[in-house]
Amino acid sequence: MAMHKAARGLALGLSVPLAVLFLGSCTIVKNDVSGGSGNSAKSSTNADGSLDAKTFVAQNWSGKIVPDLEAHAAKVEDVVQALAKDAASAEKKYGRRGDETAPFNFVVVGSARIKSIDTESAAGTAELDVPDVSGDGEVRLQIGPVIKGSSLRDSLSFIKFGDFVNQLDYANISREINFYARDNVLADLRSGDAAGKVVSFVGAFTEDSEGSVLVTPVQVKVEK
Amino acid sequence: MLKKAFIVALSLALIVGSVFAADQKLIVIITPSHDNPFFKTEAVAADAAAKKLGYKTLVLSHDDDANKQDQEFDTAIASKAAAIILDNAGADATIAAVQKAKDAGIPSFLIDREINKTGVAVSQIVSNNYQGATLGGQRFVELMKESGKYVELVGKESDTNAGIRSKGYHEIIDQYSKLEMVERQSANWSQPEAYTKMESIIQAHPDIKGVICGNDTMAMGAIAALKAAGKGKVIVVGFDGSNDVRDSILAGDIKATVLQTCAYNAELAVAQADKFIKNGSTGKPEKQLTDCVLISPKNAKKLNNFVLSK
Repeated sequence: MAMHKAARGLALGLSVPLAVLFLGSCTIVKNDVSGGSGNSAKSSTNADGSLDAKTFVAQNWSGKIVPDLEAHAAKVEDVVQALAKDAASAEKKYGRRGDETAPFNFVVVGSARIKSIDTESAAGTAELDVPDVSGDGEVRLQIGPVIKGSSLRDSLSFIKFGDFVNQLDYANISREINFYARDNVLADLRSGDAAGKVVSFVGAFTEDSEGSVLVTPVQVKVEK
Repeated sequence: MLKKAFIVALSLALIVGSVFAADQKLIVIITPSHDNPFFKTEAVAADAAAKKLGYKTLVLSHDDDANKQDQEFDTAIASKAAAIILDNAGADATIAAVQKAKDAGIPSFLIDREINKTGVAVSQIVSNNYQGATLGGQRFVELMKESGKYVELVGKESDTNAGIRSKGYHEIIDQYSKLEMVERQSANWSQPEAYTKMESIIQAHPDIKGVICGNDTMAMGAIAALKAAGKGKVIVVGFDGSNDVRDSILAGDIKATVLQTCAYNAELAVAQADKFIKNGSTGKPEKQLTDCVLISPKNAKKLNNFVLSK
């Protein structure tokens, strides 16, 4: 008798925090015609059933997006050198991608002095002086306001095209991630006085045929 | 002893005989009209890949008519096709047809355009139109030096890819405040229609600096109208990666396009169909996104029939 009561009490006691844990992890994404499933879909779905990517990104930024990238970041100088030495093994060791036809993405962490800030184009960049990267190995950070590409979304382990109804929803995730970074992470770099200072960063870059490294940061700290 | 040998020989003969007598399996290939080289290339590539694997084939076009597509599905079902390779006539309208085929035991392998439901088709090998459009949009912005008046020619409204590409273009272009869109019209993927529309647009806006087009056939129409008006230097960017636009890029007219690897996608679909027919699964997730590639004067020479060689 006592055992049953205790068991029930235990079950109740566990179910509430477990429910909170489950609902709080917010994975969605199957927004099918029937209106989606679960609490996460409700909070990240528009009235017409389409994905509310902006809310999804804002809700998952600190709890899922940043940690996922931090956990997979390798030192930027290691990655750049490995790519220069043997691209195929570097891709295998450090690269991530969704589809076989897509280029590889690399999540990196680093700390370097900002050589210069270029805001002539709306797609601004900060050129970094990365230790141990020599020659043409120019490493730049995207600082916005225009952010190019989808390196951040494509580097996340929990975002897969198959989980979305169509390309538009999948594309909107990338757009909102970029916009979030632009507004909440990169504003300091555009302020004008970051040149010459040391910046610590976590971000991702997509392999390109010309070997240029353009990192989209997900986290940035400019030393005073 | 002799009797045993005879039985073995007879069994072998029967087995061999049944292999030879077995009906060749049929793969039905359905795409939009072959008037557009993009769809023709898909159909030809799928057809060749299927035949190479020993299938008989039936190649059909739905002309972007969902009803016609439906009838063609009925044909495939009546013919007891082993698989359907499809570039579909509508992301919502097609769901029922693919379900009907599935219920009849026929798996569908979609290419190029997706449908808005998973779990009905076996594979959806989709071109990443949005990613391609951001590539084209980004190149357009660079060529425009981030400022100036431009025109957008949009594809057929009923084709979801028209809207997807437009959105991709605008995700990039709208971030540049000095770029001004003075006109946005649909030319329905048509070269002659793009020509006529461009003629009128030039008269209303003689000072446009660029034209961004939802596809290559419209880009061809636009550049022809611009050249006829003495405005061949206007920046024109297309989408698809056709031989016509390749030649135009090499001649210095159209400035860039975005390649959709449709031949590769079609071959991939057939390979997955074959695997599914033989093993009951493709070994891949249903939705597969294949990236597009920017084509510019730098790599246009290596492009032929929607294949970019190394």
